[in-house]
Amino acid sequence: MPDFKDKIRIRFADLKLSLARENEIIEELSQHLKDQYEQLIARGATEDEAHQAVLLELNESDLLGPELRRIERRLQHEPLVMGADGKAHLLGDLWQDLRYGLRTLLKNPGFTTVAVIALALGIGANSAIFSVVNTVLLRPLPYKKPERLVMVWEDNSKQGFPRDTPSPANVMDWRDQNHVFESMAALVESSFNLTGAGDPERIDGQRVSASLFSLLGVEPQFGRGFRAEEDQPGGNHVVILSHGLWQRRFGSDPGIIGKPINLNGESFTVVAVMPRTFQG
Amino acid sequence: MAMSYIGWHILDRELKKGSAELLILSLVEDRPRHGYEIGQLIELRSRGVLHFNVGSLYPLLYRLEKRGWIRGRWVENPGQRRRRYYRLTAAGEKVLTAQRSNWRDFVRAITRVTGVAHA
Repeated sequence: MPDFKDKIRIRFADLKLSLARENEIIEELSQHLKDQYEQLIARGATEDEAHQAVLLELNESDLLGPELRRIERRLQHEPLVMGADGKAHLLGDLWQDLRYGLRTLLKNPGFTTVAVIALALGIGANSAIFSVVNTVLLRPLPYKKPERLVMVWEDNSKQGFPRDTPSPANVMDWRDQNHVFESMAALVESSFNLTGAGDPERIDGQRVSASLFSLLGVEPQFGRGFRAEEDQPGGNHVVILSHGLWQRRFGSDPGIIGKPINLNGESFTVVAVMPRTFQG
Repeated sequence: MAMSYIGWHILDRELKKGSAELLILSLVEDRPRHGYEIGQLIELRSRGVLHFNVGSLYPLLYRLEKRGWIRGRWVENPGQRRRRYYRLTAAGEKVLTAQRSNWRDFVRAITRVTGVAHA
């Protein structure tokens, strides 16, 4: 089958069409001439006769160039997809392109497999790197000067706990002998049985020293932080609620400050509620 | 377009252009067709009197498409070459209805004047 594209392209030399538009038109006209050629062969013409007849038809098309120039002059600033006459067709053309791409991929399963694996590895690696960057660089801890915060543990590797919770006495020693840190605070994870209004509930919390909030640079949404004297034995029956617990369990009661709640069978006085953004 | 022995040359240029548009719009009314098929159907149904070559058919198709009366899409059917099928748009449907009516009126008028129907 002869290729007529070059013969057609010569006629478009001075039309100054965009390359994509020119290729679209050349392909369509070329398909037409191929159809014509095949029909002539089917009717008994020799290949040479058919070829000459098709070229004759093309040569008779004197108006092709001038006509196209007149029509295409108004189309030059339009989308590259031939025939699209406005933005309303963009979605339809996109859908057609997607289906064409899918068919092409299905025709070449080997290439598709390699491409999918390469994409999967690339996306996976990017996701992993971004997770680290996001955690370390983009979303630092929501505290004041997070880059200057460190966590200090007690090394109890002999018992299998390289990061062990220090005893209160050791914490007091560290605090008194500290000449490295601006400030130190202590915290330990604890669970509490919350009883009183509503069903009993097991909640997770922390026992903290009074200086923790000032060290982190965070303020309660309302109420007050812990006081130094509340670090003393017997003065520690005060509690600060997380925003979530205050909403869920106490119905966002604005008068919660000063009210007692029952934790592990003992009465604690609510002195503050933390803001929603605070992460304990 | 050539329409030899019935004296197509006596009709003015705009009339020719208008009737050519009517032919194409009529052929894509029922279903989408590609350019070669449209050209073949015109030749077949006119019993060889009307013939569009590449240079006259495609500029006409692109002009109709530019006006929004037809719309072309590349379609690739299994075992066939990729072809561009044209279908009638809603705007083209209205134009087709109007052009059909005008054409009927025109033929009736010519017939009345020339008496061709009684010849």
